[in-house]
Amino acid sequence: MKAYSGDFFKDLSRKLVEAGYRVFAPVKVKDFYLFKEVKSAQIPDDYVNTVKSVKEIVFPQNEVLIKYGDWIEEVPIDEEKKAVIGVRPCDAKALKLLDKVFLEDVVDPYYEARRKNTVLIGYACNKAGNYCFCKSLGLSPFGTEGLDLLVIKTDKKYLVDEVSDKGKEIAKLLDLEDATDEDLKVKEELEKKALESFRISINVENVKIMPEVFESDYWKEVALNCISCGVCTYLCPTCYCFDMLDEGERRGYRYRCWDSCMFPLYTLETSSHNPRSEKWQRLRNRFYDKFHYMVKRKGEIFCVGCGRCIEFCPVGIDITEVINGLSR
Amino acid sequence: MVKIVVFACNWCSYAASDLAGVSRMQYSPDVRIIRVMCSGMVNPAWVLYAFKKGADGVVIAGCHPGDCHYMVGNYYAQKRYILMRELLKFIGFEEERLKLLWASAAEGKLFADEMTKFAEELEKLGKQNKLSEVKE
Amino acid sequence: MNREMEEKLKDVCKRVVKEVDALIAYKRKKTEPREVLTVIRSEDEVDSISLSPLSVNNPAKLLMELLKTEKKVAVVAKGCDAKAIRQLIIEGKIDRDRVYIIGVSCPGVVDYRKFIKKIDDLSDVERVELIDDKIVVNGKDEIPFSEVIFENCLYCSNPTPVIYDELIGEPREGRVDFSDIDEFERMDREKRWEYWAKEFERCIRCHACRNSCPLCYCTECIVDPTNLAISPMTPAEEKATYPKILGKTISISDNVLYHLVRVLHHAGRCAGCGECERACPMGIPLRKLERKLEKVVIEEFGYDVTKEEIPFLSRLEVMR
Repeated sequence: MKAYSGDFFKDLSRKLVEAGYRVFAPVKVKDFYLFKEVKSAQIPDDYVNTVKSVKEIVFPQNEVLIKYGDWIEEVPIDEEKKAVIGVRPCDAKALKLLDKVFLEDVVDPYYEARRKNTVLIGYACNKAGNYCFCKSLGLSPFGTEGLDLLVIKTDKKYLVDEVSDKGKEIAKLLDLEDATDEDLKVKEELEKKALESFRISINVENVKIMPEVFESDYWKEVALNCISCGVCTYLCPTCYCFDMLDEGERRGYRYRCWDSCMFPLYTLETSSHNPRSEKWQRLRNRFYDKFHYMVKRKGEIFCVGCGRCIEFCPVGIDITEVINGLSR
Repeated sequence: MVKIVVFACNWCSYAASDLAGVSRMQYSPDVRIIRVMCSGMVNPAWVLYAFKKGADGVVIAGCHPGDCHYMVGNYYAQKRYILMRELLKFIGFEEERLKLLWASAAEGKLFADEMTKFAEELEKLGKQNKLSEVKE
Repeated sequence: MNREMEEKLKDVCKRVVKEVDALIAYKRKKTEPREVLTVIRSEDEVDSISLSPLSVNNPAKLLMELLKTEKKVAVVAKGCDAKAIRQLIIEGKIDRDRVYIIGVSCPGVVDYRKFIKKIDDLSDVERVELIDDKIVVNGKDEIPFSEVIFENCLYCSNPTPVIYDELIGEPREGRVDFSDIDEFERMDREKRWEYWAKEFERCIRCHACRNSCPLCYCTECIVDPTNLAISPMTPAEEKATYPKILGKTISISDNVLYHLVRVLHHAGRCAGCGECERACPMGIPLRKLERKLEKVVIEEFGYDVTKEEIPFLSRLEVMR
């Protein structure tokens, strides 16, 4: 564990820009935060989390794959060096989950290139947000999985945990001193306090009864208010569904864009049959995909407890209430 | 070189442009005419799509009020034009790029003159780069 | 909106729910004070409903859906909700005889995102009321209403429902105020474009605005990249030549196209409920666009949406 007595984020971001990295940090827009490219990062104390998660850096919403006209022109893969500052442990864990989808079996070259060239500098949460529930999924606001560096802010200084080799190299850009025993004690206390500050939780045991309640009318009740807008999937750090569309007739481009299982068009087949034409079927599919099908396929629940879907759902559908309300 | 897209109604204004052509009247070569059955058929989405594809000006041309082949189509065109113009003005787009023209089938000269005048105005405004996706 | 009104509403509902198949009202979420729409069918469920400044959502869309399967539905509607329901009745989407409207005279609602910033612990909030001009939390903590009111409510023209079967609360006067639109229009043209370009840059085209709007009920929306309304008999040529005005690209021109086309379809129909702005995760000021069209409709065409029987876009305007 190392320590730094200055303004860590500002100094590190400046050094990274000098070293040729494109630096992304949370910037306040109106009254919320978004990741934007900066020359010098500054993270105020009221920062909880960004509205759009880190996945937009490695898996952008629109990505041009090829251009066509008289001939086909391949677009070069993005291999620019990027650094993201202020990543919360939940978002970093989410990227690890996305790696299981994009980097196992068939490797996605676009995702792989971006992921390899992006450095993640994490920022531990000293207090849980209003809608956070990562603790009940077995994660921690001080977790290090998926990060290259984890930064903890104490009253006096910034503690820096060098998690990976890439992180160690980045940390060399600044003069870090070793953390004292007292620093470590302060960190333990902050971690304990953070773990006690969670307001809501999800009962993971209920996930085991999901195979039995597939045909239940419970899903119709839950989906009563759903408007199939797709905000939950677009803001979710672990949702990865995408669509490929062509734009232009004689001359144009093929691009990949985010798609959502909540849209009615998602399962529309050419024959006009739509197996999930009703919104409760789509809502049920979303919950099963995250908590049951991905567990069977990859062994992990594809939810990290960031709470964005609860905060931004226009009609108030709450993932914790839905799972906690499951019963035989 | 400006690009003007004209949505001309089949019965009056397209006939006017035909007359201008047959009478060998010279007007700006930047005009691309799309024939629609009635000016009331013009969807505001098409106007915006034309701007997106790089048009510098868009004209909705129809019959004179009271003369529409379908009785009332051009009144709806006028209403939509007013709404469209006010909204474009509100978001800071140059609303002079959208024009509504009444031309009857006998007014070939009027059609040619209006097009030339419009092209000159647009040359002064310059290329449209707010809604255009076409990069030169 | 305080305890008294809530109790009165519960009494009314206990009577009405016996005469209808379903009743749409507001209910508090389990883990936080936010309120969501709920459907109750029996008298014992009436005690779970609530009415407070946090009852924000518009039930018109849910009403339209429920009428497909239920014979008679009652609904608790505030001023703007009733305006939306009336518009849907005129357009033939809701049958007036099958709906029982419990109107609530509305003093304005709270913007939930502003509200949670003023609260330390959301789980502690048990009751939220509006007394005079203060929001009172749990009967003791006070927040001035002007700090948390939903901005759209400041320009409300119909706080008293325009259509109802019975009314709770005293009728209120609305106001027709377009001063903020006028002020915006006085800005320089380039500054206006700069402002809107910055707003539209953030749009992620989630279509939450379209889906939450009660008046956006088209199954075949022009901004979808494929046609949803196809059948096994649709020929392949028709499917392939569906006019693709918009794909799923997010650029300023595409976002402007989507928003402008959507707003133009609401000219003279918009109920002013603000669901679009509330649903947007990126905080885009959609109500400003809609209100500009409302201003044009009232000032240039002289159309009053609460009194006319013919929808604006269908009405013939003979102008010289």
